[in-house]
Amino acid sequence: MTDRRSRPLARAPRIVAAALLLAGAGAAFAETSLLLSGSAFVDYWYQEDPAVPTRTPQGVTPATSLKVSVDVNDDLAFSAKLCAGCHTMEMEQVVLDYTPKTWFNLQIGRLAIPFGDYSNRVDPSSHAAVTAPLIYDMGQMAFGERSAMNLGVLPLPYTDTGVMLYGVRWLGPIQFWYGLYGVAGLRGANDIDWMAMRSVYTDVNGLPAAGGRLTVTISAPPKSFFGDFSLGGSATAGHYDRDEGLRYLLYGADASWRLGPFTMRGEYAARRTELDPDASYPYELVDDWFDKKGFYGELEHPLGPYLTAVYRYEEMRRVGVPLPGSIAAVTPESSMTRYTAGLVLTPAEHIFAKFSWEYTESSDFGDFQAFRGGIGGAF
Amino acid sequence: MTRRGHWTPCRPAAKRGAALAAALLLAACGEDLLADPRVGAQLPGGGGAGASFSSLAVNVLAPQCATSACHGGSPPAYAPQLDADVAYDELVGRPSLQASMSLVEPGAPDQSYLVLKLRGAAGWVGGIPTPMPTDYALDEGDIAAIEGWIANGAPND
Amino acid sequence: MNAITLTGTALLVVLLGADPKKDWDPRDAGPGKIDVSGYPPGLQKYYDIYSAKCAKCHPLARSVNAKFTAVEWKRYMKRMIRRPNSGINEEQAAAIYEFLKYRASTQDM
Repeated sequence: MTDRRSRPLARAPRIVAAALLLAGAGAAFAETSLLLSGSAFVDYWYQEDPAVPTRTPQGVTPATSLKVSVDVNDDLAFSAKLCAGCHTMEMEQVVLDYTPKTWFNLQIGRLAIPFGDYSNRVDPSSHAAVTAPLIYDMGQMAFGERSAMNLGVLPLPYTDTGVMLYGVRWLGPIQFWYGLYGVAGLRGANDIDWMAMRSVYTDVNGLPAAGGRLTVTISAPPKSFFGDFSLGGSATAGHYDRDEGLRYLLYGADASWRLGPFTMRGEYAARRTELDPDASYPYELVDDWFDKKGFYGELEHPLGPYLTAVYRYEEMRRVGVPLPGSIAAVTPESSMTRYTAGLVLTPAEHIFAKFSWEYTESSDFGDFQAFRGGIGGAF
Repeated sequence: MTRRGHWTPCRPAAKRGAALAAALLLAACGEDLLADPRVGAQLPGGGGAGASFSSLAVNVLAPQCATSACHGGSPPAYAPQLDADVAYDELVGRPSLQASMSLVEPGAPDQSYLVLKLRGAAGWVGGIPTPMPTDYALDEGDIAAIEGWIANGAPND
Repeated sequence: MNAITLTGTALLVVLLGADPKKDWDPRDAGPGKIDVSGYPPGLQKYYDIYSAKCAKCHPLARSVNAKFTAVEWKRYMKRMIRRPNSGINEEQAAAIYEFLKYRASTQDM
């Protein structure tokens, strides 16, 4: 018999109204400042091969966010962020942020989890390519449905309910940033259910997941040809099923460096996910877990004051028994390699337009190319 | 017979010690994490992936959808009728009244409006965002079983 | 309200927020910069730090076009220097804050 769990998503409009009322009331009594910010982005995806769109999201995809921030005082702030896109409306953030010391800060609520460098640049206005890297893609990759690749290693933004401790320390020109968190964790029945992550905000099994991130940045002088160099590592682990029997482990490393006008970035991420040994699989189950792992390397540089170019090479592999219900094409060793070249045009402060060409080589689904364009703004 | 393996060497000593699990796992399991999982031979018939429609109709659709207040009876309060004896014909290949897609598209669970309603993603395709059932989430395993049945071609079995 | 309607509304807000007639300076057209030729020399140097450090994770235009008071900038800077990989130490943060505080005063904020 199915548990009659409640639907937080149905309560989202009431949550938003309450959050805004709270923010407004807080601003009325707070020492200052109610801040409103947001972004909007609409993109169009054209697939040349007519066989590919049957298994991909296609056409126009909108994404919008609105964020309200209230500074209660110098050390306490509240913020709430509402997003509307392919998952309809969801509360992407509802956070109380206590910041008494540079090295000791606390966030409580529905948090943006810091995994990988890309988690800082998820907003469409903060990265140059139209799409996210495959390892972090959320719903925009070909053959990304559950019966095929089931998206990437960790679709970003990864938002979860919990507590995070974070801070910064300096040693000469070297900045150390740390973040440690305890959250509800990923959820699913047999492999992670990414759709459910966006609509149910409570812990599926009562066992918290834990994780952390550490970054080291060598800070460069402002006009130096050799810009900031950063290294980072991220990890998180927990149980994702209701019966507390199936574990997952996510880990990754990232690096970025600016040299003159060129910004170079690279990230590696991997996830090991345990599977239900009692389910029926299309292959004989030997090891009851699978791995998904990949990386990307990216180069970005300006072409004058209004144009930016970006180039990306990336690979992602899924290794292990395919899930029950997978399409016949999925094999125990499925890989994708994608080449991306893109341009960003910023004609005015608030507006940007992006264009990308992508060519994908996949072991199980053939090779195909696609063109994407989008327009957006941030305020 | 191939011996089944389980990822065991690094199981945390205490369940509630998850806060240090990530660091400990990385430190102690470096060699294990580099090994790819082993997979056996492909099973004939796809290994029986997914539940049959008759079991889904009896165990999921009838008790949780085909109530007199919702999708049960002839005519039902709300289309489509999902009583076990008629649900197949009402779903497979039938167009949704809320979006330009089929309720069940054989072989394509992500192109099936039924799945989008169960997962609360119908707004994505221009449909009515209200998820089904309206006041609680269907069990993860039941949704996955429906997806598996659709991915296997939505047979009337 | 579906996602497309909300997106359209947000885009409209963005376009209206561009406010082309009021306070528009043609020198500000483009990806986001500030003409500091009229600023005190010390603050012109701080602009170099600001433009280098505040464009790492988002366009510089985001801060160029934010109409904050000095107190709001102080609190916002506090959040920014706590971001991962910000690369902004306290000395640089102080310089950036002085620049933004001066700019806020020129904008009558």
